Amino acid sequence: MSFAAPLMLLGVGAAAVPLVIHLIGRRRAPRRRFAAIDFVLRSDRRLARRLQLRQYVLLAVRMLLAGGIALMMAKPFAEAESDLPAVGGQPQAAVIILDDTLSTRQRRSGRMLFNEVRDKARQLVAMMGGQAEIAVLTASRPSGPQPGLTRESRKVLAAIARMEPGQGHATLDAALVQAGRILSGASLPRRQVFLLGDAAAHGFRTSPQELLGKAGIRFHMVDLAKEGAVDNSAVVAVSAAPSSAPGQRTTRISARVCNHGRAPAKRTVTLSVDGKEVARGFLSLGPWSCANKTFQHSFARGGMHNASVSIEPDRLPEDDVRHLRLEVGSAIRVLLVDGAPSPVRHRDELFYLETALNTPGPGGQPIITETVTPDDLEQVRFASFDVVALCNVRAVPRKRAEELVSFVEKGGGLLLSMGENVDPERYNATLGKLLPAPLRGPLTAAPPGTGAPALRIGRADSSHPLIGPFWSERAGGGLRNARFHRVYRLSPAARETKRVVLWYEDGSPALVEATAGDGRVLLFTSTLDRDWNDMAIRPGYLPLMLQIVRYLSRLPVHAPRRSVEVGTDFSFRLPRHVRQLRLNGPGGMEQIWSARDLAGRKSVQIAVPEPGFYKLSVTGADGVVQALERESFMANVNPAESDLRKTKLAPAPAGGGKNGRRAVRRVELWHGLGALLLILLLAEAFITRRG
Amino acid sequence: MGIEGHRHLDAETLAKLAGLQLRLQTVVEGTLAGVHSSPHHGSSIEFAEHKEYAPGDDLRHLDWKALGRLDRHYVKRFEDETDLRAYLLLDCSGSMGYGEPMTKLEYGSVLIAALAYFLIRQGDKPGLLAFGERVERYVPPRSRSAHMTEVLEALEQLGARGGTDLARAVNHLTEVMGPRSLVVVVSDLFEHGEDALQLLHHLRARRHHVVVFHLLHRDELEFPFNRLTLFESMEDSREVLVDPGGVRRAYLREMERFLAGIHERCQNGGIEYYRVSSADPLDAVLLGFLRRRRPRREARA
Repeated sequence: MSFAAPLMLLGVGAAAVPLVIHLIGRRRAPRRRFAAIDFVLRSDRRLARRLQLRQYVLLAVRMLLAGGIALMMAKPFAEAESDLPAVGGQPQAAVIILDDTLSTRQRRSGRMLFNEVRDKARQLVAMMGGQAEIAVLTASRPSGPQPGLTRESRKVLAAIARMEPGQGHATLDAALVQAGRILSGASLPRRQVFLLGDAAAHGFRTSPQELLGKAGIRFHMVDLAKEGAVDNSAVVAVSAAPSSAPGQRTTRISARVCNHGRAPAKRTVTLSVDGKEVARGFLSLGPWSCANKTFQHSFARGGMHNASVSIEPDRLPEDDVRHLRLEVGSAIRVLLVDGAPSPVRHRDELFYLETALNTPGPGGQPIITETVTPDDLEQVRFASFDVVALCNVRAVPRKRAEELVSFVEKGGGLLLSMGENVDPERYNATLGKLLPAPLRGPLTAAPPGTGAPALRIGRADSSHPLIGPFWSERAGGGLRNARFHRVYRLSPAARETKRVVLWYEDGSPALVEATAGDGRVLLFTSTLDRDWNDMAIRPGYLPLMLQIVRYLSRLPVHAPRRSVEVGTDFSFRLPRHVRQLRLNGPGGMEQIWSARDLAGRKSVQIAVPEPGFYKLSVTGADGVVQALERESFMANVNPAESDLRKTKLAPAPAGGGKNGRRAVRRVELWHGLGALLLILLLAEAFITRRG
Repeated sequence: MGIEGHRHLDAETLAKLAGLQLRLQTVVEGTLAGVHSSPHHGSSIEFAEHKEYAPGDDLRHLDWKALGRLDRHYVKRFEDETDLRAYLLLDCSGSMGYGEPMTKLEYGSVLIAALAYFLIRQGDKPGLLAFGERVERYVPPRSRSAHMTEVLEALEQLGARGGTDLARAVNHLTEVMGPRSLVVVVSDLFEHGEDALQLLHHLRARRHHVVVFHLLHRDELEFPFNRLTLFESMEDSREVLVDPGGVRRAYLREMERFLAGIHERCQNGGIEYYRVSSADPLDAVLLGFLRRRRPRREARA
C-alpha cells in the first residue's frame, strides 16, 4: 500500500486521543459509597462482559475513526498486477473483441465468465485513457450495431454494458477480420486488437497473427478462464428411430454424451418427453471420450412430440440438454380391394394379406384395414386412406383411376398385385401413369404336371428400405424358398422412376417400385395369396407385407425434425394468406409478425437465441388460428462449444505473455476507507445511543 | 383535620431538626394529629364497662349473660391491652448509613423512637435491640416513663458500621423474649440470608406478632445515577466502576426481584410488611402502621 499524501499519516496519532480520554475519564470517575452495591455487582456481573465489550468496541471504533480520518486524508492506494496487457495511456487505436459465444457462459465460482469479460473490457477502456480510439465488437455478431472507432469512452462503455452473453457458436475469424477492417481506417499508428474470452480452441480456425499481423496490428489474447481445468460434459447429439421393441409406436431415442475433461465422469442421462421425465440412465465416460445412451420409449399417441435428453448441469449448463422434435405416425389406414373374394375364407384373395396386416408387429404404427370389392370402389374416398391395395382386381374404372392417380400424386401409396382377374390392357390404359412398367401378361413358369421347376426369388436390392431390415443373402428373410408357378411379365419399356426391389431367378422383376408426385407405387408381379405361389406361407411374407404398407404410407414414421442451431436464423416459408404469424419460444418468449410485417414476403427469418422448442402458429385470412405442428422446430446449441480446451493458435494467455508485460493497476483505497469510516461513524452513534 | 387533609412531615423537614428528641416530638405530634382525626375507635381487648344497646352497635359485643339476668340489652366496651412486650429491632449496619440529608439509620431511629413512644403511651413495654454483625445495643422492654429516655439515649449513640447479621439478633431475641410479643424490625434487609427470614417465620409460628419495616433509600430504589461512577461498599472493601446507564435496567430488575421476594416471604409467613422509603413522611408511615393494627386488635377482641 502506498500513499499519495504520506505527511497526513502523522495524524494517525490522533487514534490515541479516544484512549487517553477514556483513561482520564476513568480516573476522574466519582466515588460513591452505596448501600445496595450487591445489586450493582450482581447486575454488573451479568452485564459486565457485555458492557466491557461494548466499551472496548466503542473505544476501538473511536480510535479507528480518529486514525482512519488521517489515513484517508493520506490517500492510500495499492498497485495490483492486472491480468490485462499493459496498454499504456498513449494515443492508440484499439478494437476490443468480446467473446460472447456459448462457451463464455461457463460458470466460475457461480459467476458467468462473460460477466468477467465485460468487466475486463471496461477496465481496458479505462486503462487506455482518453487519447485512445476504441471500438468494441462481439464474436458472434462482429458487424453488429456497435459504434466504430471513437474517443468517447462513455459510448464505448455503454456499448459494452449492452452486450449480453449469447448461446451461439462462432469462430473468431470474422471478428478478427472485422477488427482489422476497422483499424485499417485508423489514423493513429499504434493499432491493437484485444480479444477477451476463454481462449477455447473451437473459436480459432485461422491464426490471429495470420489475419492481423500483415497489417501491423498487434494482437492480445486475454484468457479469462485462466485455470487449466476445462472439464465439461455435454449432450452433443440426439436421434430417434423406430424400435423393434414390443409396444406400439416404440421409438429408440439415442443420445451421445461427451466428456470434455481429463477426469473420468459419471453422468445421469435423463429422457423427457413432452415436458415429463420418462426415463433415466447412467453413463460412465472416460477422459476425453463420448458414449451413447439409448432409450426405448412407447408413445401413447401419434403426432408431434418434444423430447429432451439431459445430464446434470455442470460448469456450462446450456450444453447439458439437447432437444428433439419428432413426429410419430398415427395408425396407417389401408384400403384393400379384393379382386377375387370367396366365401371360403382361405380361398379369398385377401386372406393372407389381411391376416398379415392385422398382426401387431414390433414397434411402428398400427395398421387399420378396410376391405371392399371392386364394385364398391365407386363409394370409396381414396383420400381417407394412406395406402390402397388392388389385389387381383380386373380393372379400375377410368374416373376412379384418375382419382387414384391424384391420390398417389398427393402422397398416397398404391400396392398392385396380379392374378387371373387382371386385365393388363385396361391397367395400362387407365393406370399407365402409375405403373412402373406396362403389364404384358401372365406367364406360367411351371405348368402343372410338367415337372418344370418353379421360379424363386433370385436377388434383392438390399439397400432398399423395404427389405433391408430383414433381408439376408442366404435366406432372404425366408423368401428365397418361395416357389412361384405363375407370374406377370412387364414390358421392358420402363419408367425412369422405376426401381426393382426383388427379382426372380430368371431376372424378371418380382417387386418393382415407382414414384408419382409425392406418392409411391409398388407392383408385385404375382398374387398375394397362394393361387400363383406359396410365398404367403413363408416366414418372410409377414414382415414384407408390413414393410410394404409402412413404406407406402405417406405418414412419416419417427421422423425427427431438423434441429436449428442456436445463434443462427431459421428461415420459415410463409403459407398463403397469412394474417399473423406467432412464434412461442422457450422461457415464455413470444414474437408476433402482423399482416403488415408479412406483406410481400414469402419467408420470415426467425432469430433463434436459445435452445428449446419453438412453436409456430398462423392466423389465416378467415381469422382461424392454426398451429403449425410440422413447421415448429427445436433449437440446440452447437456441440463444438462444449469442448473448452485452450487454443494453441493464440499467443500466451492473460496479460499479453510474450506480446507484452502485464499492466500494473492502481487501486485507490481511500474511497473504500471513507465508506468504512462512515459505517464506523454510524456504528459509534448506534452503540452510544444504545448505551 | 381529616386524614386526607393531614399534612405529613417530609423527611427533609425532619432532617433539619437537630436531635432525636425534637424529631420524635415532631413526628409524634404529627402522628397524633392524624390519629385524632381518624374515625377508628377502641383498640382495647380488655373489658372496660357496659353500655346500653343502641341501634348501630355491634351485636357481637352484646352481653348475653346480662340480658339473661337483667332482661336488658347491654353491649361490652373494652380497654387497651396492657403489658404488651414489644421488641424494636434496628439495623445499624454500614448500609444503613446511606442517605442524605438523613441516613436510613437516622430515619429508622426516629421511627423506632416514635413506635416506642406510642407503645409506652398506651402502657405497653417497648424494648430496643440494635444490631449489626452482632447485637450492638439491647434495652429490655419496660413501661415506665423514664424508659423512653433510655431508649432515646441508646438510639442517639448508634452509628452505622460493619455488616449485618439479623439472624444473630433474632437468635439473641428468642433467648430473652417473653410469650406473644410484638417484634418490629427496621432494616434495609441487605445481605440478610434465608436464615433471618426463617427465624422471623419461627417467631411468627410461636405466636409473636412480627412487623418488618423494609427501609430503603430512594437512590436504592431508583438508581438515578448517570456518570461513570466507582461504587464502594458501605460494609466492606468491595468497589466497582460502573456506567450506571448501562446497568440501570438490570439493577432495577434485580432490586424488583429482591423486593418481591422479601414481600412474598413475609406475606407467606404472616409477617406484617411495610416497604418504606427514607423519603416517605414518617408520620404517614406510622399512621399507616397504626391504622392497620387497630382493626386487627379489634378483631382479636
